[in-house]
Formats: sequence, C-alpha cells, structure tokens
Amino acid sequence: MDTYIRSALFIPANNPGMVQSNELLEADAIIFDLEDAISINQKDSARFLLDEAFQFFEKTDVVRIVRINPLETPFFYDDIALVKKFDIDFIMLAKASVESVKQLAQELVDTNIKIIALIESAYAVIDIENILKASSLVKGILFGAEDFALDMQIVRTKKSDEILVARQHLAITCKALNVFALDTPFTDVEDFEMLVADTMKARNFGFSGKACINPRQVNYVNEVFSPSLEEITYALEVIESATKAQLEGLGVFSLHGKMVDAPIINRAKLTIENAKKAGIKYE
Amino acid sequence: MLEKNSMAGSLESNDILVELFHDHKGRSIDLESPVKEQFGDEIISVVNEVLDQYGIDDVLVILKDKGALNYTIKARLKTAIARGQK
Repeated sequence: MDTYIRSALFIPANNPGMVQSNELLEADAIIFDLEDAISINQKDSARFLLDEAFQFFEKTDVVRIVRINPLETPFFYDDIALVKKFDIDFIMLAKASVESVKQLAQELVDTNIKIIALIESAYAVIDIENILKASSLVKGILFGAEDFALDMQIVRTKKSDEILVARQHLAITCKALNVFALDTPFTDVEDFEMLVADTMKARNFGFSGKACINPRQVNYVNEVFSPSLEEITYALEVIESATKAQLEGLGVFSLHGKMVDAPIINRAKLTIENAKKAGIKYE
Repeated sequence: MLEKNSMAGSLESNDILVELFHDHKGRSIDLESPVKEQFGDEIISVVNEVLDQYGIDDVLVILKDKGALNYTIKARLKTAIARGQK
C-alpha cells in the first residue's frame, strides 16, 4: 500500500481549462472523470481530449486516475480500450462489483494500471471483501456516499450519521486487506468548517484520504490528512526514547508520564513516514 | 471522408468550437481567434496536420478559438471528424 493520496480531486475530462491546470491544484491525485461529469453526448469528446492531453503533458508525481463508466453502460469497453493505453496510475471503476472488477482486470493484464473500486451501493458495501479479493490489481477504494444514499433511499446530511456504519465497515475492511480507502467527497463547496470536521471524522475512521469536488477543498483535506507539528514532535521524541530504551534493554518505557510500547513506537514511525511523504519539513 | 456536417468543442475559455461542413470543394479553413495574429498560422497548421492524417481534402472548417492549446485543437477536430463520419 505505497500509494500516498490525501486528496483526490475530480475534474471533468472534457474541460480543457481544468485538464491543463490540474498540476497546479495541489491535490495528491487527480481523477479525470469520464462518468457522471460527462453528459452522454460528450463521452466521445472527453475521450479524445484525454487522449491528446496525456500525449501532450508529461506525467509528474501527481497520481493520475481516470474514472470510467460502469460495466452496465455501453461506454465501459470503449473507455477501457482507450484508457489502458494512457500513462496513468489507476482506473477508478464506477459502481464496482466482483464481476466488473474481474472484467476490468482481464483487460489490464498487460499494463501497469491498477484499480480503485468505487463503492456506491448497499450491496457493494456488504460485498466489499469479495470485491477487493476479485483481483490483485485492486489497490484502493473510494466510497461514493451520494449514490449509496440513493440506493438506500436515505437523505444525506452534513453530519453524515446516516453513512457511519458503511464508512466504518469500508475503512476497517480496507485496512484488514491492506488497500487504501478514500472517503466520499463533502458536497457543500462553501462550508469549509464542516468540510474539516467531516474530513477529521474520516481520518479517525481509518480512511487514508478523501475525494474533493472543488479545488478550494484540497488544502483543507491535505492538512487534515497530514501529521500536525505536535504529532511530529511527539513522534520524534518517541523514536529517540525508544532507541535509548532499546540500548538499555527495555521493551516498555515511560515518556511524559505515559507508557510507550511497540504500538506507540510503530505509530510514531508511521507519523514520520507520512510527514516525509507530505513534504513537511520538521528538522 | 465526411458524410455529414458536424461540430465539437465549446466557446468556454481554453476551448475551441470546431464546425465541419462536408459539402465543400477543396479545403477551406476559417479561423476566429483572439490570438490569430500571433498563433493563427500554427493553429491552421495543426488543423491541416489532422485533416491530412484522416485524408480529408473536401471540407469547410470554421474555428472559433477561445485560447485552446494544440492538444485541445487536435482533440476537438478529431471529435468533429468522428461525428461527421458516423
């Protein structure tokens, strides 16, 4: 699970202004959307634009993801035929199921492209373990709460209590199977206070990142999913103390009056690792 | 070979609207662009390159450019051609 995605920003694949400025938007990953953001009579246009864009712009460190249309649409195979030629990291499979993951994986055999499964139905939530095991190419998921709520016939709220169980179930299953979990986007693009609260909730559930639907959401999401300076300082203290304790033959020791053992030390190492990936300077 | 008139693209910033008229003798290209003076020749060269690639010699191309880069011009033209061939 080496991929480091705190923020994954959706942009419509048919919008040249956004396609060409994607590197400036500071998201760890860009999701070029061929699905919901593209009307049925513009699918051809979006495919041609992405094709030319990916030949024109060299790939950088920003993770490239293309969201394709689901298996049950007439666009699925045409999308794959084109997208698998691209220099991209992931295909995001809308309305992922065991069957659609297997179909997609077969098409990607001779490529380096991996799969992010978009989980957006009640059945997919309970079948998540099988979806993740359907192919070793599945390296992550995105929870699509809007379609999930539609399927459940429930009303979405800003507090998101109605998706609590689904979120936790997905985050735990992904962690258990060592794939990354991206949380559903926060759809009010004006309410940054609630965006931060919602993102902190997702982080505490075990999600490793969150999708964004507006560039202005990216920095807030990146910040929540990055270790804070306090966390980094504490982690460095733990690691330094652990090194000393090891030399003294101690498995457990005390730091600021709190017991420190292996899980705390491992968490400290992870914090430093994430700080490095986030490009945070802490020396 | 185009079988019908077609169009692709938009008048949004960074985009270009491409219209193709198939019932035309020879190749004519009409460009409207805020950067026609600086980049007009290059835009027309990109269009000719794509038309050559598809072997299209009889067409009237009307371009309304809103600051599109070359990749967008190619993509919109290819989309319009594909639509005109259906």
